[in-house]
Amino acid sequence: MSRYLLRRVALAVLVVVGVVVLTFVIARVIPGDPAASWAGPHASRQEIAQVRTELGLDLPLPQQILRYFSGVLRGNWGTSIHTHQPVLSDIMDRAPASIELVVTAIVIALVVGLPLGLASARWAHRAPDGLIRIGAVFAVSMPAFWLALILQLVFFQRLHVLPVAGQYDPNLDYTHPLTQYTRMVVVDSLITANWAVLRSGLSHLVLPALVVASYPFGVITRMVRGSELDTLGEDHVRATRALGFPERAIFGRFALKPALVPVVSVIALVFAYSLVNTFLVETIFDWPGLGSYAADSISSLDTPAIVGITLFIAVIYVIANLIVDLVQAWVDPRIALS
Amino acid sequence: MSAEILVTADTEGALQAIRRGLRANRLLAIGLVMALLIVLVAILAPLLAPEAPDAVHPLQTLLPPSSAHWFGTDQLGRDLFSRVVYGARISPVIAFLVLAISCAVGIPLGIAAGYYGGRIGEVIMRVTDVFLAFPALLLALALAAVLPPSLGSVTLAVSVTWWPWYTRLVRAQAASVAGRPFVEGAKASGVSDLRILLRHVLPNSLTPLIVQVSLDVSAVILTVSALSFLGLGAQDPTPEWGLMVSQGQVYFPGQWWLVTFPGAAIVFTAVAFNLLGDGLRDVLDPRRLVTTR
Repeated sequence: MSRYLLRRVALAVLVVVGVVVLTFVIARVIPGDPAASWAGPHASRQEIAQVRTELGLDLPLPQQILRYFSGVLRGNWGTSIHTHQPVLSDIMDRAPASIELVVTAIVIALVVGLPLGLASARWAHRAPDGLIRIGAVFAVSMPAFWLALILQLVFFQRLHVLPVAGQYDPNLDYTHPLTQYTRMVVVDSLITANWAVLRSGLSHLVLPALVVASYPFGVITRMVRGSELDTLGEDHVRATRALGFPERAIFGRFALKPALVPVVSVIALVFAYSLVNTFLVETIFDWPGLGSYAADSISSLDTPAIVGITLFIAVIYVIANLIVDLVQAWVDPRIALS
Repeated sequence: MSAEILVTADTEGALQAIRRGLRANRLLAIGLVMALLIVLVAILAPLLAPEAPDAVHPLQTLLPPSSAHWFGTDQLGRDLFSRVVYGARISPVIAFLVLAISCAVGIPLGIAAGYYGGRIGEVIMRVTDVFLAFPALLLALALAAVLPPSLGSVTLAVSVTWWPWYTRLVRAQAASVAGRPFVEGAKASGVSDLRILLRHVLPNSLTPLIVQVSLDVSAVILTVSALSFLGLGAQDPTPEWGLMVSQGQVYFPGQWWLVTFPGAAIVFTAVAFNLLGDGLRDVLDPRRLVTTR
């Protein structure tokens, strides 16, 4: 196990190094004149020349990569063109709102998707299974930006039930000011017992979380169904049936646990995917997270910010994958041996 | 020559499996019909669309759906139904291009890594790992953002993101074939590497590859439409569905049809190919056949 752990961690570090090199290529090699794009569209020729020396673009390429690398390590991720703030601090300011959104979405996806996936496997190839499978296919086929707009149309414009913009009612800032610790509205209002903001925050969270939950819900439902059906066909489960265990025990106890192992790995994947999906959703809901920051960066051609977000999410993804692999090896020691 | 025969033999078996599967698997049948419908609409677009997709009518802007304009008109008075119909010629074609490029790059690399292994294989797989460390949309987005906005840039950006998946898939298949006795036998009797690769390794990887590619059509279409929605892909007046949703957003929710219909076209297409890919996997993967029955 410890050898596996060491190898797996070393591999993750190697991948992160590769990720940094790749973002270097995106930031400094592909754009025609990276200094011009770094300095922004309104920079004068003098400013561009100054940026060129600042970025070390006049140095040989290997030296440039080293400089870029040490900058990234020291937290110097460049300055955003549209906010004029250091990119890393922008990201740290914006990340909590997105993480709150994505975690809520994945909890919704799990709470709905797990039982539905199991029901689908339980009644495989019958009416409930067909309905659930079609639902799951629709969920993964939805463009997030379109679903967001359609839900706004239905719930806000037509039914007048849910708010569609921001994290909570801004009027509450005067009557019930929120003390921020984590920058996650629901968490902060909960720990400071600010019930008015909590109620408003939850109602603002519903629609964007449902939109972000769509894809993970579809993936989890299909994954649970497939995985449960696979384990039901395995020898150890068939043995329990031969031994006369009731169907419910076979389904829920003997087949469920091994079936959930691959589901765990898919959660890390959909977490990263959903973080990227917020790029399409947050602007529509005026959600002040990474996604709207990314969308703003794209529309203002803010290369340092785009590259910073890319690097940030890729590193999160590598770490999430590492954790998943280690958890799986811990649950199923055979993985570490292979 | 003989490689072709072997491939046809393999696809013939697959065709039979699909025919059997269509009867048993209704979702596959539905997906196939939907996908064929999209192909038909794309081919027959000039006949189906009442107007050219870029025909501007300044006096008929933002009209709601009616018998004259089934899906209404947009901010320039263009007939939305015609634009959505012509859109069937864009996203699916881009998806096809992306998948073709990704296969052309990914398959040879995967075969090389799996069959030869060694240091070359190690290097190929570590590079692949780096690309796979990004969620697909993220890397495509970062690349498209530094390239000039166009459908060509999007095609390139998504292809750069997509090939590693095929490299990984084919490598696993190739590695498992490379050690089998019939390949060792062929090697021992002096058959050239290229011939072994074409006759034995590639055909054996074909079925999982077909399943993966058909599943990926939807994912690529969603990625491309997302990039266009963010303004990084198709530009006006191209009738690309994601771009149309993005343009209609300004008039939303008052002129709801501008967003609703192009978006519904994306969903329809993505559902079609998802059902098709799912169905093909059920039918072609014998292991799954046994367990899902």
